[in-house]
Formats: sequence, structure tokens, C-alpha cells
Amino acid sequence: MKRLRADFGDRHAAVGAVRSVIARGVPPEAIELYSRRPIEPYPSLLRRKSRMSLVAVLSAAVVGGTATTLVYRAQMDYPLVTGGMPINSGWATGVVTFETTMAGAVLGIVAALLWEGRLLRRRKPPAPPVPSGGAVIEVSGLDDTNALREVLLQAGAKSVARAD
Amino acid sequence: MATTGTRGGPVGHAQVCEDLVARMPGSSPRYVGAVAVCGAIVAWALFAWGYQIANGFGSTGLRRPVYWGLYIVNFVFWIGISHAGTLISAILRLTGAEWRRPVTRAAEAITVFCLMIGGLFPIIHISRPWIFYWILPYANERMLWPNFRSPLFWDLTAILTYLTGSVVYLYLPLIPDFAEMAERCTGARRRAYRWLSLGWRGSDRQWQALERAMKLMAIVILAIAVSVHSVVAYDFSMSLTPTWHNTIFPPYFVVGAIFSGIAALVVVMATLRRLMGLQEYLREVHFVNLGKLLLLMSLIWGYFTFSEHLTTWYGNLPMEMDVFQAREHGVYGALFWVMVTCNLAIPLLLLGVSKLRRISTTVVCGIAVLIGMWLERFLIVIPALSTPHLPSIWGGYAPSWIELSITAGTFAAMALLYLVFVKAVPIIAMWEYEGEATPR
Repeated sequence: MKRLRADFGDRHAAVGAVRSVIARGVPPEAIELYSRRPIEPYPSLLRRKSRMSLVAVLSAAVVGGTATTLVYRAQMDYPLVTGGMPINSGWATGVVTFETTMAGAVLGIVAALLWEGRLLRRRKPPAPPVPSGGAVIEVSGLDDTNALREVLLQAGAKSVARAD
Repeated sequence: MATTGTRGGPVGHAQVCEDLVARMPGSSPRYVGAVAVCGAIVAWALFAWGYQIANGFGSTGLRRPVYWGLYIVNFVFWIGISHAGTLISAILRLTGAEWRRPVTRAAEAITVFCLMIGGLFPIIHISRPWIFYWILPYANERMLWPNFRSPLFWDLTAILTYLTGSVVYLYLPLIPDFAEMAERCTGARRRAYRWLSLGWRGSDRQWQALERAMKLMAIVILAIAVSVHSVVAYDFSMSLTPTWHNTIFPPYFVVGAIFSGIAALVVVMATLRRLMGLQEYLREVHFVNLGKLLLLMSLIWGYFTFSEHLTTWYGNLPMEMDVFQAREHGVYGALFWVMVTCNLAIPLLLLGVSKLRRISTTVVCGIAVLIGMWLERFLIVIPALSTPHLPSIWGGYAPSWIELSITAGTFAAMALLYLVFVKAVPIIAMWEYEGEATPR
């Protein structure tokens, strides 16, 4: 399987090129678009599936639930003198539940970012040098690069080269 | 030579990066001098704290009936200012306000530094900091768990959560800039920036994940910020001290926090603008917009203050009226009216008239509001404790050199942290700002 790399001086031309490449039947998962600034609006064709919200909610529920259970068990197993007030109160515990739930959401977001953004991975090929104001497209898993090379050049690529 | 726009500012990503990196302070005598002065004040404050630890609380001005003095005033004040980052960055990000771009990082940094400083005060206040860990909920050898029903424990969870969230919220938009900085540096700095960039490559996958994470964090951090100052307010309103046992306190504190946070941001921005020559980035429009927000918060603060005082006055409960009288006409009367002037009169006068709304007037209002909000915290804490239920134990409070030194030290610590920060990191997010092409 071969990999092509195309340099674009203009980020918007790169977006057009991505559309053309996908129109040629290349799956979005085989395409990487590199830039120094986010390309706005994102090409909808390359929108990756994200489970960040779900991870955040699940993490919030787990951390908040665990903390609430800990508070409940600690209060029941080692009861304090409360002057006739209930040992465990939803009102008072609610504050701790809320804060730890939010802490769980923060942890979930960070974990999802590291996973989905493929950060903190040691075995990665070096990132292609991206010209300022421009973009680089990498297309991998190709059998034949010649046809795609033409498509990229027609879309405005300054240069197209094999990257494997 | 970098391309410049019609207003003299750089245009395009490359020029913006070059320009912002060039404006990061080097080791000039002025910079070193500023660090030395701030460091000396912080060192003096640490000495004062050490003196307090060695000689006990009797060396401070804290004594019956006022056990909460400047430490708690400063705690509430600094935690309040920390709301700057939340409001400016999170709200403006969620509402898509484009003018926020040059100001968000300065605001987010304020949040983190203020929380670090504010969070120190409860530790200083307990006088025996080496047993601070007793408040942590762990199965310890004493079989003594903290009281989960105590607002002080809520403080711990709220502030730790807010600090964690704020550090993440500051760090996320720094990741692409760390990668950019790694390309522009050599040696140890390059390695440090590369390590901090977590392997950022600038792929669309990463940009999308980052944007999504920042949007989610903006939502989460807003909820945390509101809860944090509510919890700080619970420290007061859960007690039966006259004028504290009050349902208006949590929203009143949140409003005050946002109010003082905007004021702090205005002052920090003006300082950065002047010292780092950021006139092309932090323009009049930014100060005017922040001025409008400041005016709005001033009006809301005035409404809350009026409601709180009217309710107390109308209730006419003897123990509350004692505090009320002391605060408005008694020994604290002058401070009360200075507070009203700083928080309401000056912003209304200078920002209420559109022709007067300029950088200079916004900065004057920002400084006035910071003074006014510090006084507000003082007037909440001290008069109520000075006039408790039993008139036989009424007393006053005069801070000693220890509290004053530590208070001065925290302001110096804030400046010192900022000096170090602007030396290490571009104060404007390079990837978010594209010069004059950025919509306003």
C-alpha cells in the first residue's frame, strides 16, 4: 500500500482537494489533512466520529457516583454527632456529588482528547512540514498513486510526492 | 519585514507568530528587575507566614470575636477574580464572540493563578498548615473522616475541581502553540515545548478533537465556576451570623466574582498592552466591549446590593441592624460608601456615557472595581464578626503586619506568576488569531 503527500499553499484549496479525493472513492479514514490553524469551516466530508461527549458523561457519572457512595459509606460507617440532624443528607452530599461529577467530566474530556486526537503516542511517523497559511494532505492505503496525483495537482497542489 | 495591515498590525499566521514570539520578554534589566521586586515581596510574605507559624495566631490581629480577618477577605477576593477566565473565555467562546480571541489566554491565566493564590489562604488561615491533609477524605489511621456536611469540605472539592478544570481549560488551547514554539526554539526549550505539545501534529483529527474538547470544557467550566463561588458563599450563609444567613448570598457572590473578574482582566490587559507593546492586538474595541460588560455587571451588582440591604433594613432584626448600622453609618461607614462609589458610581459615570467609553476610562473603572470589590469582601466579613449576637463580646479588628505582608505578597505573587507566564508562552493564542483578517 502506498501513501501520497500533497502540499498546498492555500488551505481552502486543500479542502477542495479533499472533496475531489473522496469523490474518487477514497474513504475519509485514509485521508489526513494537516494545517497550522484549524480549517474553518471543517470540510464536512472529513468529520470524524467522536464519542467525546459520551465519554465525558460516562466519566462524570462514574466519578460522581463513586464519590457519592464513598461519602455515604463513610458517613454511615463512622457516624459523626449531628445534633439530631440526619447522618446522611442529600442536600449536603449534593454539593460533593456535583463537584466530583464535574471533575469526572473534565477527566473524561481530557482522556477522550488524548485518544481521539492521537496525542501522547510514541510510535508515530514525524508530522509533515506544513507551510504557514497552507496545508498538507496525506492519502494512505493506495494501490495506484498516478490517478490521485493528477487529481491533487488539478486541485491546486504545489507538489505531490510519495510519502511511504 | 512582516506584512502589516491597515491598523499597523501583522496579517496572516506566519507574521502573527513571528510578531508575538518577538514580543515575549527576554532577560532585559527591566524584566529581571520586575521579577526581583515581585520575588522580594513574595519572600517577605513567606517570612511573615513563617513568623506566624512559629509564633502562633496570637501574632496576628485575629482575636475574639473576629477570627476571620484579611485571610478570608483575600480568599473570597482572589477566588472571585478567578472568574475572569470563565466568563470571558467560556461564555464568549460558546456565544461565538469573535472579538474574544486576543483576550482569552490572558483571562484563562488569571483564573489559574488566582485560584492558586486564593486556595492558599485557607491553608494560611488554619495556622498549622502541616495538618491540612486532615481535610482530605482518606481512610486514615485516626479513623476520623472529614465532616462531609461542612462547607469547608465543600470548598476543598469545589476549588480542587475548579483548579483542575481551569488548568485543563488553559492548557488545551496552548497545545498547538507549544508545537509552534518547539519549531522556533532550540535546545532545552525546544525539548520542553515539544514535550508540552503532547505530540501535536496539526492533523484535522487533532484540530477537531481540540475544538470539541474546548467546547465541552467551556460548558463544564461554566457550571463549575458558578458552583465554586456559590460554595464560597455557603461558607458564610450556612452560619447563623447576623446578615450572613441569607439566601441571596450565592448568586450575589457569583455576580461579584464575575464583576471583579472582568475588572481584573481589564487591568491585566492594559498592563500587558503597555509593557509588551500589544497595541495592535489589544485594541480599543476590546476595552470598550469589556467596559460594556463591566457596566452591565455593575448594575446587576447594584441591584443585588440594594436587595440585600433593603431586606435587612425592612426586617429590622436587632442583631442584623447592629451590623447594618456599623456597616453604613458606624465605624465601617466610610469604607461602605467608598465601595458604592467604586463599584457603582464610577462605572456608571465613566462607562454609562458612550463618548467617555475609552481605554483609559475602562482601566480606571477596572481599578476602581477591584478596590470596591475588595472592600465589599471586607465589609461582608469583618462587621458581621465584630458585632455578634452577644454585645458583651463585640470587638474590632486591626490587621497586623503579618496579614498585611501576606496580602501584599499575594498581589506580588500574581504579578510574578504572570511575568513567568508571558516569558514562556505567547499571551495571545497564535493559532486562534490571524491578524486583521480575524473578524470582529
